[in-house]
Parts: sequence; structure tokens; C-alpha cells
Amino acid sequence: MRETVKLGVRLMLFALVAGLLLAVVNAVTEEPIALNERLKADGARIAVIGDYAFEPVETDTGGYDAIQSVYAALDESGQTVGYVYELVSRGYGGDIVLSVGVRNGAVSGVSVASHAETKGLGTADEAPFLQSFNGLSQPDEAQGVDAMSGATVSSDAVRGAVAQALAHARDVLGAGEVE
Amino acid sequence: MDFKALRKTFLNGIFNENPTFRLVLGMCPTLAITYQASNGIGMGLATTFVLVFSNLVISLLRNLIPEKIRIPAFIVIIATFVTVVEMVMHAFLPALYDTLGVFISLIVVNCIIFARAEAFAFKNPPLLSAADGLGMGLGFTLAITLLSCIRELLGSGTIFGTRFMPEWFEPMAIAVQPAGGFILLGLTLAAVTGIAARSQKRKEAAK
Repeated sequence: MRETVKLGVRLMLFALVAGLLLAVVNAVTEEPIALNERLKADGARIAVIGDYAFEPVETDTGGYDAIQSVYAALDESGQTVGYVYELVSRGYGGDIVLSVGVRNGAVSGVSVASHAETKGLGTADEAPFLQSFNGLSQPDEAQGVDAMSGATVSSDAVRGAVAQALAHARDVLGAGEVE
Repeated sequence: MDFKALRKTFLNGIFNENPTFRLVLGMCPTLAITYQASNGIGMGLATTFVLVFSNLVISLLRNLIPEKIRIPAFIVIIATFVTVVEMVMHAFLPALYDTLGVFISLIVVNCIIFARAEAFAFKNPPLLSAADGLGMGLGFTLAITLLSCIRELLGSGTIFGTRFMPEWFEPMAIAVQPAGGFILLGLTLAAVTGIAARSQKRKEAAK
């Protein structure tokens, strides 16, 4: 019995020292880990609108079939500065998943998260196409963006999704009236 | 204890008793993560860190750890260092952390580390134990980096993400899958054993 207690105390001491050491390491790494996790979760959203906090918005998306979810971008004082739409649109080879940032009623950025198109929609070659939406505020304008040559169906899918995001922001969220 | 003994212990882990190719220990991470070269070197260095420090600490405490509770004591020490590696990697190398995933935590049950604690560090002085940990760790790193280079080259045509194979090369998907890992591990093991046996024979003939 006595020996068991002795061994237990010894092991407890080892565990205590180990715990202290881990507490120190945790104190150092806690902040960078939190930042990494946030970048991972919000990376696509940050890419299309900027470094803000994001919060899901409960909203009616009836009639906007591409919209999966809507996030409000909040600045430090909790003011809504814009919205990020996560959309799924049917492309040539499968679903195109993309994020669209809308700020003051105009597109602030478009980024493709995943797709099954023939090649590289959303990669470096297609960046000019995605960038050409920036600043547009009318759904019709988004529909009128020049398509990527040889990828008309894919381009249509993206244009349709961006147009839906803009229409929803204007008509349902009333984001166009900011400013 | 002299420099010669340290060097001998260190080199022992890399060649004569290479944990992967000679002792055939730590097969789980070897097969699971060696589908790309960066994984191999990341996993190898993380394991090396844990090996060096667990060997050092266990050796320092070898007179304080009672024989009866040595196993739980080893686990506490090893798990502590693994957790340190995991937190540091999560904080500063998030991409590697994401690809290695659960296999970082599983370094705790890597039998190389446990075997060295039990067979070496518990019976030898600290400096020698640290040298053993470093040798074994780098031996493991070299072995799995070699294997992961072969698998990445055959499976994706690249090494460390740089393309090495000519245009016409069609990547063999099986090389990056677990089954291909087994096959290539077996072939590499055979090649290393063959080379070692041949050099052994030559040495004997020279005598």
C-alpha cells in the first residue's frame, strides 16, 4: 500500500512538471494557432472582401437557387461593412463553388473554392476573368462580363452566380442603400 | 565517455541499426504519410525532436524513475514532447500540420521512440542517449524521406513539388496509395538489405 502511494506521488510529480511545460508552450502558441484557424475558416471570405470578422446571416434566399449561405463582414465596432455569398453553380463538368464579396452594393471580389471544369477555372490564368467583376453593382452588368474564351458554360455559371449575389444584396438585404 | 563513443552511437542509428530499414520499426507513419517528400522530412524531423528530448530526459531521470512505473513515466515524457511539437507545428507550420494531421499525435505511439527509451536511454548516460536519439531520428528521417521521394516521383512525377519526370510520363496512382506504399517499402527494404549484405561480404573478404 505504502509503495503504491509512493509510486503514485512520483508519477504525479512527473505529470505536474509536464503539465507546467505544456502550459508555457501553450501560452506561446495559442495566439498564432487561433489566427491560423481563423484564416483557414475565413480564408476565402477574407480573400473576397478583406480582413473582417464574419457572422452568418439568416435571410430568405427563396428564388436565388445558387446561394448556399450569406455572411456579414463585421468591422471592429461590430458594424456590417458588407456581405460574403457562398454559392454553388452548375458548370460544364460539375458544381462550381465560389465566394462573392459584396460591399456597398458592388462586387469586392470573387474567388472559386472548388470546381470540376476542364482546366484551371479560378487559377492564375483565369484571375483576370474573376477580377473583371470587381466594382460591378448591377446584376445585368455581371451577366455582361466577357466570357473566358473556350469556357462559355463555366463563365456563364460564374456570371449567373455573381448576378444572383448582387440581386440578393440589393433586393433582400438592401445593401445597395448603404452610403 | 569520449567523442568516439558518441559518434559511434550516432552513426549506429543512421546505418547499422537504421530504425526503418534495419530494425523495421515505426512502419505506421512510414506507410501512412510518405506519399510526398515534404511529408517525409516534416514527419522525420518532428520524430527526431521528440526522440532526442525524450531520450535525454528519460536518461537524466533514469535514477528517479522506479522500475515499476517506468512505462507510464515514459509515456508522460514522450507525450509531453509530442504535444509540444504538435502545438508548435500548428502555430508556425499550419500547412504541414494539416497534411500530417492525426499522425503528429500518433508519434506518441511510434515504437522507435519507445524502443529507444526502454532499450537505450533508461540504461545509458544523458549525452550518449541524446546522440542515440539524434542518430535514430535522422536515420528515420533519411529513410522515410527517401521512400517518400520515390513514391512522389512515381505517383505524381515530382519531388518536393518540382517536376522531374518528362512530359510523357503518366503518374502511377498506386504509388501514392497505401498498397503502393507497401510494395515500394518492400522493394526499398530489399535493396538496402542487399547493399548492406554485399558490403558486409566485401569487408569479410578483405579480412
